[in-house]
Amino acid sequence: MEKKVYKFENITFEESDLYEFNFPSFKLIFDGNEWLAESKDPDDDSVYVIDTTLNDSIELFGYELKNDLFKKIQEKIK
Amino acid sequence: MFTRQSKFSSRFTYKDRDVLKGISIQRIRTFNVDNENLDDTSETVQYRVITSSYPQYKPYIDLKGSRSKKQRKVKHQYQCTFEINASMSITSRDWTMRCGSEKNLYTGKAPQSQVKQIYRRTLKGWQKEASRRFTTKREQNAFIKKKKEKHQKRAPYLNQGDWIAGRLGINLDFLYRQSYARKIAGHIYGRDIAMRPSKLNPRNTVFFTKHEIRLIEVLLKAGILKG
Repeated sequence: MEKKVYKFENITFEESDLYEFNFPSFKLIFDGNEWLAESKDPDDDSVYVIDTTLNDSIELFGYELKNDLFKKIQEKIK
Repeated sequence: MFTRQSKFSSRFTYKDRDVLKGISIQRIRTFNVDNENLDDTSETVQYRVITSSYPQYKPYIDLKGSRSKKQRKVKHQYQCTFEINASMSITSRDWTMRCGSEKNLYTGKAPQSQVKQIYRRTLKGWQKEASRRFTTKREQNAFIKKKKEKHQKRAPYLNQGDWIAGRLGINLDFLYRQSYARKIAGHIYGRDIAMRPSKLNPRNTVFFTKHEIRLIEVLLKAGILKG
């Protein structure tokens, strides 16, 4: 994913794409570089970086993210 | 939405002293994952605009008069986040916005070592030390004065408000006068931190802070936000 950078009245504008996948308890975010999992609980500001070589499954905020589903998600943004 | 009532009009004047260096615009494609079949998921597109700005103090000092020359030297930099649907239209009702950080307001006192304002407890401690070390009132006062001067040179922030804005990035104008009004109107971006109705905005009027006005103005000028 490419970033578009330009200037207008001495202000630098940076345009980019961001993908969000909404799970019941968390959001899976792809910012172009990393996969992040962010809690939806307002009192929980923890963020996890997901390893893209996920072999089996991973538990995130009480949800089991399986490798198959993660692969499908990665395919979706290509 | 009210943006220009007489009591809010100063924000239109002060927006001009805001220094805006960069604006990040993210096109957010959101998918709801209810089951494992991703093909059925609907996609929604939103735009998120993130920026941070800080005021230039010189014109502000001139506007406020000579007394303000003693005003803060630490820059207050606030992040503004604006989220709007794919129409990117100023007439859209589907928008949320926040000025300042999402950190919880620190309700205790700011550390004395970081604020110039002398707390009563600190002063009492110095008075105690002075009376232990010096016998005459004159010497004691001179000692306290020296302590004050030394402390005020070191501490970076003026007072609690300055510390909250500078250190935590919380915009108090937004937090006190606007956050609750935005919350009940469904236009608050980000975390729902404890917000209460404020006497400073009894009618819960939704308005924009000067930083937000500046951002909207730039987005309109650049043709990103459609009129």
